[in-house]
Amino acid sequence: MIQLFTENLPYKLSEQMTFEYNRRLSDVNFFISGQYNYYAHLKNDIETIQLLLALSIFYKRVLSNFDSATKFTSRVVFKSEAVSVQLGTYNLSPKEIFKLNKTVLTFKKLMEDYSIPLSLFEYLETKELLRKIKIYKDGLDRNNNNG
Amino acid sequence: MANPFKDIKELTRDVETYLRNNRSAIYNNSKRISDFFEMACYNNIVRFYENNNFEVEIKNLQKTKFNYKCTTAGNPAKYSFFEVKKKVGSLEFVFEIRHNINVQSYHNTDIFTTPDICVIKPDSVLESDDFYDSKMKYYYIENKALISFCEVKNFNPYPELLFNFIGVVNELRPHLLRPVKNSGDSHIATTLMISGKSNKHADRIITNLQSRYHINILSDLFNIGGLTFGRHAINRLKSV
Repeated sequence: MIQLFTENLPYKLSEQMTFEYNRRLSDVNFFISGQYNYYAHLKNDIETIQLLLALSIFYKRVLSNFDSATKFTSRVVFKSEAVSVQLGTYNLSPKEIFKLNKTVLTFKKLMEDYSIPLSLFEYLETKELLRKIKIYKDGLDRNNNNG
Repeated sequence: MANPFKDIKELTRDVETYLRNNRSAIYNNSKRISDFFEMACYNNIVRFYENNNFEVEIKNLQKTKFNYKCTTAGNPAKYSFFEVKKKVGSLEFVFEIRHNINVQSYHNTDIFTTPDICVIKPDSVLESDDFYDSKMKYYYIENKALISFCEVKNFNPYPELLFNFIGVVNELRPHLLRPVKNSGDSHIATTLMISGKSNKHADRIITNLQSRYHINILSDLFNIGGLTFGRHAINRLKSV
């Protein structure tokens, strides 16, 4: 699943993302293998879990850095008379910031359309992600049953 | 409302469309992820000072641009930086947060290393004419002008990376490698900032090194950078 996100990325970044994805996926497989009743029923949703895991890695390793760049530039522009940040030969101008912001906001909108909260992507341990996914899925199921 | 557990095919298709439509922005800027990550860390250090009641001011804009020092070469006078100041009684303490500044070793005045982010005393950049065998000048600060420094690594933590950092601390701030009885609370202690998440062994090393030395080692900053440098969370960081 992670290949979907890494195929156009520079090698080093792509390698780091693939490494993290594979490591966490092996944790996921361990937890849903049946040894833990709490997570066992998630086995049927492995495809969605894989996509959510890949989305979370893409979000934190790529998009959150775009977000950081826009935050840093915003701080500089807000706090001084600067209009842009010069990074070597690259000028992080308002136009570039707009493009970066658009990439992040379009992603956020897509997540919103599928009612995927970005807080799902804030985790340290894979178990934490899995727990959040379980709570999130149970919530969606409850809403569907009530609706 | 679409449900990712039921509409997985639609979600996958929409993600593919998103990636296709934003391919050039994602690809072009992904080449600068390391710079962006350094920017995020730089921003977080500035936040540490803001949350620690310092006033922050941007200095040395080049025309209307914040000139970000990406490399170790170059004259610091041509690059922008943050100045932080705090009043204590009638005294005002001023420091500079700079990027990629050459710092003299604690042990020897002839050797230097370049941490990613330095907190230094104001107006302390010096120049040397005899560092290179050419007319080129070398810009550096004396070790006594260094208040604290941070190393930024856009990697997953691994043992050699962590132990190498101790070598840099030994070269620039060796007293942090001895038990520190009383430390100040104004400045962030020397810190290693790592983007990736540590595995169990790296976690053990980080815990061990932090218990032995007066340093911070922060990993998984892609994930928790904002949380680590929040107003209340900064109290958990070691300071000097």
